[in-house]
Amino acid sequence: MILSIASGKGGTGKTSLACAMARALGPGTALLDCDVEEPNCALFLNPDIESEIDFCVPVPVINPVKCQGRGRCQQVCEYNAIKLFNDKPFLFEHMCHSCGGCALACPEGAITEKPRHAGKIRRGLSGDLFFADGVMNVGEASPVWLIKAVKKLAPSGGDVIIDCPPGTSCPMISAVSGSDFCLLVSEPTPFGLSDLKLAVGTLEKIRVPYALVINRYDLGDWEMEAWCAQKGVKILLKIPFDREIAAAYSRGRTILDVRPEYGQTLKKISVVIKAGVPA
Amino acid sequence: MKQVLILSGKGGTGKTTLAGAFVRLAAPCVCADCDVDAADLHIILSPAPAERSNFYGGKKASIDQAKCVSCGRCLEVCRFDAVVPSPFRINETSCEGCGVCVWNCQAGAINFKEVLSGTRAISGCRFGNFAGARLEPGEANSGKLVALLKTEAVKAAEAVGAEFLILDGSPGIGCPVLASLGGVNAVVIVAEPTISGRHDFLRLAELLRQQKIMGFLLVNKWDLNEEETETLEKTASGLGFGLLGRVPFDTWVVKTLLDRKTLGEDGTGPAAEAVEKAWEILKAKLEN
Repeated sequence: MILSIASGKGGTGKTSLACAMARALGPGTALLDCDVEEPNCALFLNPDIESEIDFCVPVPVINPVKCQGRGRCQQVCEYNAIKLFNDKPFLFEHMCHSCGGCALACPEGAITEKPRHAGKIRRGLSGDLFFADGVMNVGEASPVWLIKAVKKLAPSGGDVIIDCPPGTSCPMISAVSGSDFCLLVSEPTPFGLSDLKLAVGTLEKIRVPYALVINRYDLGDWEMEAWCAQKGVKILLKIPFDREIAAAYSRGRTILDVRPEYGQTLKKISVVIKAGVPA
Repeated sequence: MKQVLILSGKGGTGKTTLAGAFVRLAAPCVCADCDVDAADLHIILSPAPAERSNFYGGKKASIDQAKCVSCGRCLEVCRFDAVVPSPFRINETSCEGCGVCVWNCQAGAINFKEVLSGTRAISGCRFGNFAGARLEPGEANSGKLVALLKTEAVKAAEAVGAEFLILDGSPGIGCPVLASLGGVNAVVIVAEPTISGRHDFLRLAELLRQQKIMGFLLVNKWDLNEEETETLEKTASGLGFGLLGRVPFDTWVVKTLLDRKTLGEDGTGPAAEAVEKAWEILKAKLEN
């Protein structure tokens, strides 16, 4: 089963839950940290990194000798990444989405592609868990390619837990799509509820089944639960605010380190989820 | 006019709560919610209803089944895994709008149309003018929408001669954050004293260094880990960040949020006081 942990709103406990869930499921489980802008799972799982490879995206290289200045590249680029000045194409590399269109379109074959370093992919083991994450270079605009690359590392067989980036647009969608199930983590405040509605909208659009975990459920109001009841969203777990959990988190410990009883709870939740997921 | 942007790297550290309080303290001012993915600032500012303008973030491809000859060329040229075979169709959420399939289709079977990605509006709130946007669920191009919203907010601020433009940012360090940085005078990073908070602070600090933008640190919920708070502050000072102080964990923060109020608007408390102090320090620094 591929289970993604997402939230809409940030800081609700995705990473904690993802790491705890991977631990609770035990040997053979894989954890993929797809929050490549701010990857934090490694801080909690302390994996032994066995390989660290550079991650690159293709960007165009224009050969000025072959170029006839016809501007077909500028014409096909939907991202305004190539502009002609005095019949010479100029590349704005940070605008490029690596679609490869310009290289395909150039009638003189003057455009080739070269790899541009955009981040790194690490993989290793944390105890008996498989671990992989992506670390996007600071200054890069789009995490999407890197997220897709990290997801390809999922070993076949065994459960896969994906820690997703916050938000509800392209990075979150790239991380969640293809999952069998998505566990949303939120907190019962007006901000949490507003973002939960957006996240649910996105998941319904991409047709990934989901359920909710409410974190710090006693530090808010009941509107989230009322909304879930009305909308038919299942709440699988409610975790109270617990200063000890918060303090342990601040030192890089998961909920299981201070409240080991959650191991059984999470395992039960995974059974409930799997029962609803077609094999 | 000074532009102050609130960022955090890590999500959920208190950006919007701080932005709301700063908006109140800077009033009358103009503010904008640049977290268009998961916009929340409007919840505590309750801007007046306004006519919303549409935002078209880009184009998307779609295959006309009647014209498709199933040659598979679209599948071959698409790098975004957006083409699903037999019968060939486009997965709309994966489509990046590059258009490569469109001009490579020999049968001319692929349409390419602008799609409505979101809406935006500027309207009055009790502290001045509020610029807000909404991205449709599952839509992309949040960076473009942020850039557009910011341009309009700057215009609005100039039109009314506002002293401050307060901007609530997105988590992360990717395209919506990059789009929100243009023209900003100072960035306030709200961080929690946790090892992930420090890790994410460092990545964002590196981005500000690259972009040569002045940064300030405010530690939220500092009392959850005093040692980590000190480490965070030392690290930030070493990187040339101004320190705006420490906000304690205070359940009153959640209460004001449940009342749809900005922090400190309805009575004060330790967190509200710390944020007011932070604003005074920031204002003094920006005047220099």
